[in-house]
Amino acid sequence: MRPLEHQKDLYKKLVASDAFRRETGVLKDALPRSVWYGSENGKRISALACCRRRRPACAKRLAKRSSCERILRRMANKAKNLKRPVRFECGKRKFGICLPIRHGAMIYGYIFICNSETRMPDSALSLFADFIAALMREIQKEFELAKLYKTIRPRAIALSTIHTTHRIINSTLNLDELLPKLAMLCLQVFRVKKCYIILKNVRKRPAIIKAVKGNGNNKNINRANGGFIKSPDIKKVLSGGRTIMTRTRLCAPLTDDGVIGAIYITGKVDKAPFDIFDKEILATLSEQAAIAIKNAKLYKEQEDITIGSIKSIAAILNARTPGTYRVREAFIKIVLAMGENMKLKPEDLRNLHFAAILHDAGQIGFPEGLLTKKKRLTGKDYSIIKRHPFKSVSIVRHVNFLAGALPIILHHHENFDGTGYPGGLKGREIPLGSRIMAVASAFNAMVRKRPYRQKTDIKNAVAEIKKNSGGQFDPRVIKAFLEVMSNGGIKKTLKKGL
Amino acid sequence: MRMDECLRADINRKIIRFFLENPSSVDTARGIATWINERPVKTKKALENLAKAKILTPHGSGSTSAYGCTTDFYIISGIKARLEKFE
Repeated sequence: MRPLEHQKDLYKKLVASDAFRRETGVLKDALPRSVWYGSENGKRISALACCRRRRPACAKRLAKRSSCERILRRMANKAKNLKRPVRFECGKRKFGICLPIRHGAMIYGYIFICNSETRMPDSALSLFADFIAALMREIQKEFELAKLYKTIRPRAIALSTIHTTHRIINSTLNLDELLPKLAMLCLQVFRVKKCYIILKNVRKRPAIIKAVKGNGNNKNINRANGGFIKSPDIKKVLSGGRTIMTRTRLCAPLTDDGVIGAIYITGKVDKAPFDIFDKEILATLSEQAAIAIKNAKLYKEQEDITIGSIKSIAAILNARTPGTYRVREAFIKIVLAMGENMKLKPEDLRNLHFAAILHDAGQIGFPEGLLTKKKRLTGKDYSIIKRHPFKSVSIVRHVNFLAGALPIILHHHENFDGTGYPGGLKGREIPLGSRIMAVASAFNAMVRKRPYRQKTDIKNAVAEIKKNSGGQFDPRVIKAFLEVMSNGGIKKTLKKGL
Repeated sequence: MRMDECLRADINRKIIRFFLENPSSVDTARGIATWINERPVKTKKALENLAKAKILTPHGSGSTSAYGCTTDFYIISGIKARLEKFE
């Protein structure tokens, strides 16, 4: 058995334990006038207890007697070699015992009972030895549990941290959200002053900082060149793919079929140097981050393909009747800005985006010349127009990823007061996306020139929309529309795109 | 919530002590509840209050919401001093 570092503690815990005290109490009565000593190593002998008539001071005085000491040391040595209790005589008709405190082959100390007037029976001695051994096992278990707690708990906490960071990193597929989150987690886990997330860009020069978190100056960032970092460490990491660690800097590559970037952390808050533990944790974190970044990029690519295909459908529709089916970027921006203003979920925003592009796809079924007709529309014309939401839906319903956009497309001509078409829905019966589209669509129609009327200026169009709040349009949506329209960015887009 | 008010609750002190011992830890309410031997619901509420007091930094959202100790040196030293007084 491996000797324990806390050997002294084991001995001390044993002799201080309540069970040991109780046992000595019982034995003291059975062995009148006995004196108890203890020793951790068989050399330094100290008083443990004395009989009731004698005080501890007298036990100390006895222990100081050189003859007594010599006997006790000799007996400790003998018990150590024999690994069992040893009996001895100490003085005239005085009996003693030396009991080694052991567990397996390891001896943790000795208990001496001397100056006893009666000889302890073998059965009692064996019982006492067994009791001490059992007590010892219990104490050792306690120590081992404490040791396990001390060593395993911090590791378990670190493991839990790694697991939590993994979950947080993988909870988003948006790269613009993911990278700041990652930088923030690095600050937290490594307790550093600064964290840079750097991604390679094949088209531009390498080492573009995509996210920075933490305090301190940014003097090593070359802003003039679009956020390159002036650090030889990063160049080495990006080209060599190995982690670089100094006392104050740690840089690990983000690897996925080659190096795609790096995580660079500098200066611990407590000014301690980086160690191998930090290096390992950063390596694990960067592996997880590389996968999350790859997933986010793939998702973005897929999104771009989806939007691209929808735009292609829109372009096909426009090709049939040039100029009539052209969804302006400004219109889409207004719709999305309103959706964001109303705090729609990402999934709902996505559906709103698709619906904004394809909401009038059914116009493809209009008879030639209906959309470019300069004369007043007839009742028959109106009935054809009112059927176009159904046609739009029948065109796009075969595309699975557009399923969420179908209700928005179907009801985007419904009015808040129930006077719209095709369902004559009222208030909240109309999907929120459709209520948003209705406002944006009406605004878009007003500010653009039509074959049968002149365009209205933006200010008047906004006033007209506002006038219909609570009637044709949802007041809540109008509020969002007005807030969006007061935004400088949208104003610029409108000037460019209308 | 002010720092002194935060320290009045026993569970808040337990959480703060945990984070001062393990400043690098980032864990969910359920995880922290396990480390401090408390009920997850109670722990979640205490974590939210401590995050409001800027003693903890929240990470993630929804089911992945987790908490870590603030990196602000002044808050940490302030809370350490107050915690000593309480003990």
